[in-house]
Amino acid sequence: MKAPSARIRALFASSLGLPGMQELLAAELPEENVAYRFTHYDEEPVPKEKLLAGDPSRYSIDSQQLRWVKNLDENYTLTVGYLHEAMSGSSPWYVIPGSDGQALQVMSGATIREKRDQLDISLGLSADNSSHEFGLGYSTEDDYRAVYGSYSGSRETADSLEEYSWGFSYSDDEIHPSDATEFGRVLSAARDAWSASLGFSQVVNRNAVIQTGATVTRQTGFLSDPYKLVLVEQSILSDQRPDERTMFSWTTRLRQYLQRSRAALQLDYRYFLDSWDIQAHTLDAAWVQPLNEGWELTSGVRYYTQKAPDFYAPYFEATPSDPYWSSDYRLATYGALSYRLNLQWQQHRYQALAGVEYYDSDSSLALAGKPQDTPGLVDFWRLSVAFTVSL
Amino acid sequence: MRSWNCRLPERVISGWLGLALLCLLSACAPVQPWERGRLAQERMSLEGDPLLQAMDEHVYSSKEAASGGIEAAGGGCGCN
Repeated sequence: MKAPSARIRALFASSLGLPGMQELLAAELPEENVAYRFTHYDEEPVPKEKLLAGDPSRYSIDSQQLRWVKNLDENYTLTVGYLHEAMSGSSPWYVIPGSDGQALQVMSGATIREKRDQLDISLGLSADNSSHEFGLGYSTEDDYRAVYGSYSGSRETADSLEEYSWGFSYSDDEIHPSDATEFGRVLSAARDAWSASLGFSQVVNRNAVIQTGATVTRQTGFLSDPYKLVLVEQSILSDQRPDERTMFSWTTRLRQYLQRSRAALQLDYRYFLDSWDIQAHTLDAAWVQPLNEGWELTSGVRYYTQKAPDFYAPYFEATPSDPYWSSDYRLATYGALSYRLNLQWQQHRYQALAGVEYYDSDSSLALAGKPQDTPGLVDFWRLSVAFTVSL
Repeated sequence: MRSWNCRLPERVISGWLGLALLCLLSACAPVQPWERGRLAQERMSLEGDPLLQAMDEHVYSSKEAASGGIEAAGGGCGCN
């Protein structure tokens, strides 16, 4: 349920004679707009005591997003999105045990410099109390190319208190690893992904709305990371994961208006499970507090925890019975806490925002699972500014 | 550190499912159109700013094993 939906707006329009309703409507952004967001993402370097070799500096990424929404007529809406990313830094390569048994990280030797461009176009159709959106996208970088398409739909009940939503997407991806011959990487590989989702939202009362929904995604093809290696007994081998993966996620969102402070409490929870036996929980809470003169402050905290699949270990002292192994820190058992602040200003047709986030991950933050010594776990900062102009 | 309890996910699922169903199936008070002003405010949006949502999904799914929300996923990237 996108708030405010066209249906709800229409119902508002029938109530314009009521006190305060004109002001409420005037405060809403029109649907047509141009939005720009700049994000600087910066990973903290690997601590010296956890680094064995390579460059300790990690990824730094500047992202620029542009989005244009144009109503073609009363029913059709065209949305065009563009993303450009410039990234540089080093990436965790493999892990080996030190003399005292502590896991030590080997980073990629040279600084990686790469760019990525992504274009998304979607056509939305709104009619009566239902809406449909068809999207196409293309993402390209030096060693990776993705082409994808999606369809999503939603339908509100006659009283606009409930909404059903559904969606499908397909992505066809190709990878051509850099320096493949030099490092013995796969020369090229392909993967694809199907995804389907169902959702339901309900207005609980005049102060609360809740949404729940599930998504199933099936990936097939080359799902390993060609840039990562693994120590298995005395050999350094390529990262090797199963070539099929089915993922299930279930998300519930609550929005609660708090009358006394005029603030909104936003609560999101996601449960994740996949056929690799990874389980994860994500809990996100945000407090959106309006201030004076169009200013608004959002403070939020996010907790994430995951349990590793059986084929993950920092390094393998014995060869696993299944021929799968990975020491990619992103598969480890760990937990992460992130904290964020966003300050937003809105006046007439203009909206500006500045935000900061700090993300801290650590094995000790895991909700459950066997503790693992994972030197590659990442901490990062994210700074962003955004501008929106209503057309 | 607690050891992994295989019953935990089921408990979490059933707990949240129960909570959601309780909210959804409980006697949700009829809300008239003129009573929906608060729900229509941007800060009450279920999905939030599209650019921020896209960036959040991109960043978190690049660094975490889990991904996915209520909407079907988009395309991948070679992020490492």
